[in-house]
Amino acid sequence: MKKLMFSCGILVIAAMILTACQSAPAATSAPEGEKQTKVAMVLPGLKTDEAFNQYTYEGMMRAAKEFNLETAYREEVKQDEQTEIIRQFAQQGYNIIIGQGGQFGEALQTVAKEFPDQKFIFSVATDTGGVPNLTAATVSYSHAGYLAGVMACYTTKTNKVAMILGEWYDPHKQMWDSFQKGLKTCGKDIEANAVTTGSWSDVNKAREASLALVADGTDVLFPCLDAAFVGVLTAAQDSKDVQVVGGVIDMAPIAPKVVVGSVVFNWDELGYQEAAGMLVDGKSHVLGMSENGIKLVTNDLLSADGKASAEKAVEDLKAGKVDVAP
Amino acid sequence: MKNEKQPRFLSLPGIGDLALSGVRPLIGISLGLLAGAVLIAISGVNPFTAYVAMLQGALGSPQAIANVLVRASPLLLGGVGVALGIKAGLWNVGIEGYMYAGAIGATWVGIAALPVSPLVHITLAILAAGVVAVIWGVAPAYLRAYRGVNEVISTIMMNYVAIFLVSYLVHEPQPMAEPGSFFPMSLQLAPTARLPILLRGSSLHPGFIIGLAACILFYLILRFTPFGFRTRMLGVNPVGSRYAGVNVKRQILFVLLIGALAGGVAGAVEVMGLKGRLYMDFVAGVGYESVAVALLAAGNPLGVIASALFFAALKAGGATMSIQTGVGGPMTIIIEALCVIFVIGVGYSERKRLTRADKAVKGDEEVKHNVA
Repeated sequence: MKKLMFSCGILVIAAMILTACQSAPAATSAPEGEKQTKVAMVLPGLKTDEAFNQYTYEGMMRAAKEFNLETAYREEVKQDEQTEIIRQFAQQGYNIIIGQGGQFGEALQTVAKEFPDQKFIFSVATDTGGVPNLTAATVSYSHAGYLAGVMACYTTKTNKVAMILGEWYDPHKQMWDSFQKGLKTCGKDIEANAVTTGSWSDVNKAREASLALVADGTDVLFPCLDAAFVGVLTAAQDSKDVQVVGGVIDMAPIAPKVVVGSVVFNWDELGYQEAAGMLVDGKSHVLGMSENGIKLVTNDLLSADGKASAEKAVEDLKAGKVDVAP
Repeated sequence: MKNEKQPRFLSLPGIGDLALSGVRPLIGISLGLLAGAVLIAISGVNPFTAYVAMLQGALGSPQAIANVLVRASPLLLGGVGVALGIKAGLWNVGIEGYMYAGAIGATWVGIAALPVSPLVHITLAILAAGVVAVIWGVAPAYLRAYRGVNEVISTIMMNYVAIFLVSYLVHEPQPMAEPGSFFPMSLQLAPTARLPILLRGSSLHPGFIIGLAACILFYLILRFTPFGFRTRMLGVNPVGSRYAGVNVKRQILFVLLIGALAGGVAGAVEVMGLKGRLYMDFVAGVGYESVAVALLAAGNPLGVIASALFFAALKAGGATMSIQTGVGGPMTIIIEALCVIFVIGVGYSERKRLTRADKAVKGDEEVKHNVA
């Protein structure tokens, strides 16, 4: 029995080694001889997360179809493998390599310096670190915050509103600043609070934070979260006269009775423009209203005044008339 | 006597005895890879193409081998820390936490611009990592040794505290945090505190040498010193060792603290060799993989070398596999888990078989005795 298992094991290993020797050259020779632009995307999460990872990936695939690009990706990239994976794409000659998320900065800078002829994009960031072949690109958190502020302003009756987020990253501070500016557009004296729950995905924490805010008299909630936003929606649904200004995605289809409107982050557009080679000049790009990075969606719950003001705010942002960060 | 070759057993708390033999891990790994192949096939990719890509990614070029060694560094150190515990009958599964704690120490010293040579700065940073990690390990080690609190629960709970402590420290306005960064991280380490890069165009740093040295050192300690003998005795029979005059409580305390030390150095190596900064969530499961590494090695420090390299090759090769063939990223983790499960399973069935054989032999002898 032991001998049988032993020989089985040897056979399996031998088979694997043999096949490896046979087909190794075939695998490497196949992709050569084509002159397509090669684009690679490195994602921190799964490309099926129905959020940031999925939409940026889909944006790349849309560009791939349109411009006949050869694409590759790697999902769920952990901290200890970032440099190695980005370097692998660079070694394989990918022309544009996109690191999707603020955590890739260091790794992108390191590899971009090693491969000066290839283009790298630090996505959801504004810092290129001075590396000439590294471009930073993101959607405008401050435009989103301003529009959310305008909608919240026209919705609140208790004059108490709150933004709920996972943690304070730099863009969220800009968002918070412009959210407060948006709140000043309707002439009310509004008290605004910001609450971090410590998790972008913990539904219960978001729900508890929302319920605590509601108990304190807040009647408009503005979630800027990943999966945890569901907790904010259920808290609003279970409370009386509490409404939600959606952030990141259009939340009206999920909770039509509490969502007055949403500021949608066009992650798809970001991924599309990055893959299409529109953001490779080594500068820092922020896609705002004019660049189709942020989209406004209003729901019937929003008052006519609110709708008109939100649409005017969109025009003002496009025209650069609003004093917020890009 | 018919079966002269006595089977060796390793007693694992909570799992029971495992029979040890050289081929057991090989058979288990082969079965694990086979089962992985089935899953890869189900996901719509030819498993042979996938495994070829994996082999290329692990061994295909000097860079690939460098990647494997980089990934192996924390696994060697973490694995040997857990292995020592297994030999003493303890589940020291707090490596994740010790890595975070050690990284805090290393970063704390590393970001300071000390007017010293790199060798001194690196030594100081690693020492700081060891000290912080050992302090981190004192609570669960003391509780286990003197109060009988289950070390699995306490070390895992301490892991979470460490994760959130690092999160806190790398957020503004903590002095360690990088101001205005897009992702929570510490300031950059001073150049004198960075481990040197050994191969241009790769991230290869001397961490794996530290890891290999630790494995060999732990092997020698276990095999040739009174401390090692006491540790092994404790693992085989805690009651017996107390009867034999071993200070069992002190022994447990030391074994757990040495595990913490190894984990702390693993964290330091990641920060000083690979990342250059302390990032939020930077360990990402390596601490728990260390447990699997030690398990695959059956607690043998030399076996840890083989199993850490195997895991690192799976991880580095798995990245290439998913890039080239489109197999989902988590497949590597699934294959790792399958290998461990099959190695344990093969060991279990082998043990049952040996026990049966043993009974049969005894039965034979009884019959002979009766006849006589």
